[in-house]
Amino acid sequence: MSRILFGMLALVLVNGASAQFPFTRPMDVRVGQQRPAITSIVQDSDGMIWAGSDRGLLRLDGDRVDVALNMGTSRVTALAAADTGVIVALSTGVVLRCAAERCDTVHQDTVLPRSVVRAMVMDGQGRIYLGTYGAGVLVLSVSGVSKPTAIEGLPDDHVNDLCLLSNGHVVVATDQGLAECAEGKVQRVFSEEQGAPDNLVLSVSATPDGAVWAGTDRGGAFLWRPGQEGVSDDIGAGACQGAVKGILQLDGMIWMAGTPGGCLLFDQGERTSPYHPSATTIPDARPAIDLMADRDGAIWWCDGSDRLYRSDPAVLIIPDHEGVDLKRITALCIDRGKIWFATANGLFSHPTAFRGDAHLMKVPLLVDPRTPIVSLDASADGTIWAATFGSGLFAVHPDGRIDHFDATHGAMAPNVLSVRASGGMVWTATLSGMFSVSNGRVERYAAPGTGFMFMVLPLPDGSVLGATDGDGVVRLDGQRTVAVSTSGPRTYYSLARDSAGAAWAIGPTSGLCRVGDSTLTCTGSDLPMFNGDVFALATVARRVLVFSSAGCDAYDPSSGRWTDLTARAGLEDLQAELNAVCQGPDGALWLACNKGLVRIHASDHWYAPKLSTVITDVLVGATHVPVRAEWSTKHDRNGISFRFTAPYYADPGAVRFEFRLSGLNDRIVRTREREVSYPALAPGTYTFQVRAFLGEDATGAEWTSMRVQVDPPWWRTWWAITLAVILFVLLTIWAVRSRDRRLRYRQQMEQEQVRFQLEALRSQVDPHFLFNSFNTLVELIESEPDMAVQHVEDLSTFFRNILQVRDKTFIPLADELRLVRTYFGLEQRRFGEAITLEVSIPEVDQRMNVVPLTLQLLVENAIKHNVATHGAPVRISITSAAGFLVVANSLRPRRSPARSTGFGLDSIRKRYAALTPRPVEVERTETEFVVRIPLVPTGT
Amino acid sequence: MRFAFEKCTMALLVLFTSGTVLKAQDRNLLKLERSEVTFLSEAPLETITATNIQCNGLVDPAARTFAVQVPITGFEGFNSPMQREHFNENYLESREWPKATFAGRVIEGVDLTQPGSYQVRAKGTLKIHGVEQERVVPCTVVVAPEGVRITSSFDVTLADHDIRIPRIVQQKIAAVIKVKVDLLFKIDQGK
Repeated sequence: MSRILFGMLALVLVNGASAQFPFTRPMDVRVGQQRPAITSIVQDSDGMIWAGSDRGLLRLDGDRVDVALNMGTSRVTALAAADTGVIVALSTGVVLRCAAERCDTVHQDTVLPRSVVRAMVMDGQGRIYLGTYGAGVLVLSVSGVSKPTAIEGLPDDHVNDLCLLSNGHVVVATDQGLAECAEGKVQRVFSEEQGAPDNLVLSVSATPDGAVWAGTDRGGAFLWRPGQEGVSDDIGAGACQGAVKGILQLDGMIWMAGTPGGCLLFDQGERTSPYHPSATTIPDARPAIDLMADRDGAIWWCDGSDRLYRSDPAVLIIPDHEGVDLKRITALCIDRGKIWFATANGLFSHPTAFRGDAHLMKVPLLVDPRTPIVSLDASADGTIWAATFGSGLFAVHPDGRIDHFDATHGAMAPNVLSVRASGGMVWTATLSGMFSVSNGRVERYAAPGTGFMFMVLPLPDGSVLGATDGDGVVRLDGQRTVAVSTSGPRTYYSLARDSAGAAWAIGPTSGLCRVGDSTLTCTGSDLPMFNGDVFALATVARRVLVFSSAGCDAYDPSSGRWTDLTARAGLEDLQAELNAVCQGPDGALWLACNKGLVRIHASDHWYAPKLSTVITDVLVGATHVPVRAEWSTKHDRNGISFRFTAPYYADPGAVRFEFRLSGLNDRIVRTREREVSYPALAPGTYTFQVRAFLGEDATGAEWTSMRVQVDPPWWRTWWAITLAVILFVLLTIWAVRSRDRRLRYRQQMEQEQVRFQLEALRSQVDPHFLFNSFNTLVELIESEPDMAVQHVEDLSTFFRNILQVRDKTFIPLADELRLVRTYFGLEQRRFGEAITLEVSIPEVDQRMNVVPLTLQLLVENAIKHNVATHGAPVRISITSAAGFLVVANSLRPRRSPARSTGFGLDSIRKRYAALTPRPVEVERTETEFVVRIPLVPTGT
Repeated sequence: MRFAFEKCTMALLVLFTSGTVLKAQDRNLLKLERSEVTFLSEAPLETITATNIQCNGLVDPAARTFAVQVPITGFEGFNSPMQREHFNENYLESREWPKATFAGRVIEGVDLTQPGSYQVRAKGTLKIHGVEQERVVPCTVVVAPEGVRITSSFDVTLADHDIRIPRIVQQKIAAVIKVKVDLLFKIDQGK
């Protein structure tokens, strides 16, 4: 992924030139390995920086560079901030509105694709003004539904820039002057005829009070108040040495882009000297072509290369002035609008405004270069007190008179380390303890221990503190100094008093200590700055600033929070003299260090930047989803990644994050990463919360949150569970019922079988049958005794067979046939020729099964219910056809039907219905009675 | 040559349609009659100069628009033939981008149909090496009954047009090239 490379400035000393420039940090923007040529920049309401380049639209969050839009060969010609996101005009005539995750076309110009959009503004009513080069100004609504309308009456159709006034009017910069437009019409025109220095206006920007700064091609820049005659203010062409391609007013400063050297800084109030980056700090800077002020109060500019520049007007650096190297200042102080500073070359004074017409004054004070001035202070009468390390103390009076105090003049110790004036007294810290000077009289105060004192600090209440090497912080008590506290570290370097009256001390190991009546309350001794050299302590804007070789850290006594300002103020690799820091009456802090004279004049917000956290991207599975307050996903797409950022371009590396996913656990995780993944979230509702902070303490930072719902799978929804329960209950009921029915049926079947057997048995022991049989037997005994024996044997066989088969479900047809033949033999002895039986069944079918006694029953029925005579015998035939056993008999029913239980046929039907799917068929014609019984194959 | 002229006319027409007032057929076009475009590279170790007299162009005095085309291969001079070859093949890559063009309009509201001498700014698109740059170039325009003479001098930064100079010859070729232009336009008799 692409990253911004932050580079430290190479400070180039240009001999003799006077230079004052804001701390500027160049950022190299890379898209993969490519170097985009950035031509426009804008910041959206989320704080994201968007850049238009030849590689498409880029979005910078301080850490990453994302290509938000890549349109191939088309370039971005103009950019404007919208509510959340930007409006982009491309060289193909397309106007898009882009947010973090997508771009929508707002307008597509097919008629005049060559009249590229040069500038855009969006007003409060959702109208977008497109300034085109050749087709005037088009107005369209942000929804893009209505046709664009043109503004009438422009002095020229070639528009270079647009700006929106606080009253909602739009000012158009054309090749032929300015035009103020409202309601789709030009209200006023301002060109050379009305007093403009140049007709060719290249850039415009509105001021908060409703005026317009306009940058021209060769007439410099001018301020125009619509409704007033002429030019209200102007900056001549000489100041910017060329065409002004961008202009901006910020906190009284006018910034102009397009000068040959890059960017030009112009302080409106004091007309300070211009800043040419290419001539001072950034040798390879090209002329700036676009300017923007970010929400942090910094100025961004681009020069058509792959670099963006961020200049912070809160930090001004003066590396040298009029040939004097300001990177080697040993002491400084401010008095009556002048800054006094000492280098190895002597003592100088200069107005605090480093503008072109201000010059350095050298004080004719002869100081041995081997004994430099290490501390400076001014007393109320305007006398500058200079403390040297080796040559004593000097007093430079306003009238030019110089007093000298040392061992021979006034008995002052020669090695003075610090001098402070308070009221009519001047206090010094020396290697021999504390001294005071009053009306030319020097007094020495006895000190415990070695008496090595680094710094002295008189307090408004009359007490005087000293920072010593060996005795800790001491307080003046009568004629001697007494240690404030006897415990803790014994070495302190520097002392400072804050606006609330509290005194602070720092030492190499102590941390930052608040000096109480008899105690020192210390904090931060574990911070990296106390691992190296500490240089100076200063109080500004209710904060205590510690300068050390680790940079600059600010401590807020009200919240107890430390903020690292090193990168913000560009103070990496800081080297400074002890106590080379002072505060001006305007609240600006001056620091003399190895970067030059540094002036930090910042608002409270600058010291405690408030970060706003933005969730920039949400990935569900591998799909990007729109970032919004709520999101729901399916149970099987439950791998979710959040990407977030907090735009803080002054020092992106210092941003830390805290996040938690309530719903999963309430554990707060701290990280420097800008991404977190949850690979598998169980169904449920989660709230992702993230907030950014600087330093160690996140209290007070606002959470940004997003709700995510992982839907449960359908089988775990309430309706699916209800349905399943109902289904289960129904199934159980059905199963129970069917089992019940089956049981009842089997029981019924068993009853039926029992009844069948009973019936069969009963019919065989039917008294008629027996009576008939016995009658036959009697006859046979008389006539044919042998036959009678045979008959009895047959009868016995028959009953035995019945007994054998009656328990079986099926018997082979052959067995049944044998039984029938036995039975028929018995009957034939009675009826003789009056009944006949024909059996013709193939061998195959004989192996099939039948229900026992079926045939016997049918044959018995046939004999019982028909009239049998010799002339018309009852013919019974048993055959088989197509799997059926066909039993047919000739029909001559008896007049008085034989006594019938009505059981026979019916019983056969029921049993077969229970055993095979094929029904028993009964067919009755005039002459024949046919019953078809299904044959059941063996093994069924 | 004829073909080149037609292309130039086309470019000019496109410019007119995209630009200001489109006048009727009575537009009085002036055609480039004589041209002299010179560039000068002043580097610590070497000074190179070359001149081109094969340019094409059109001016519409009433609409104050213009278009000029410079064939890259038409530059003569240089310190050696090899230098000219390098200029065409390595730096300007004239095979790919054979022409440099400058087309635009005059900012000042002067009437260029009236005889006189005018100091004006020509604003337009300068295309060299395939890279377009928006430029405002100061010019001197002398209008006489016989024609219009335009002289101008301006700088071209090589980096602006993506012309890369190898480090080894950076001492011999300037990063900013001075260009001098002297053009004489006359009424186009052929039209």
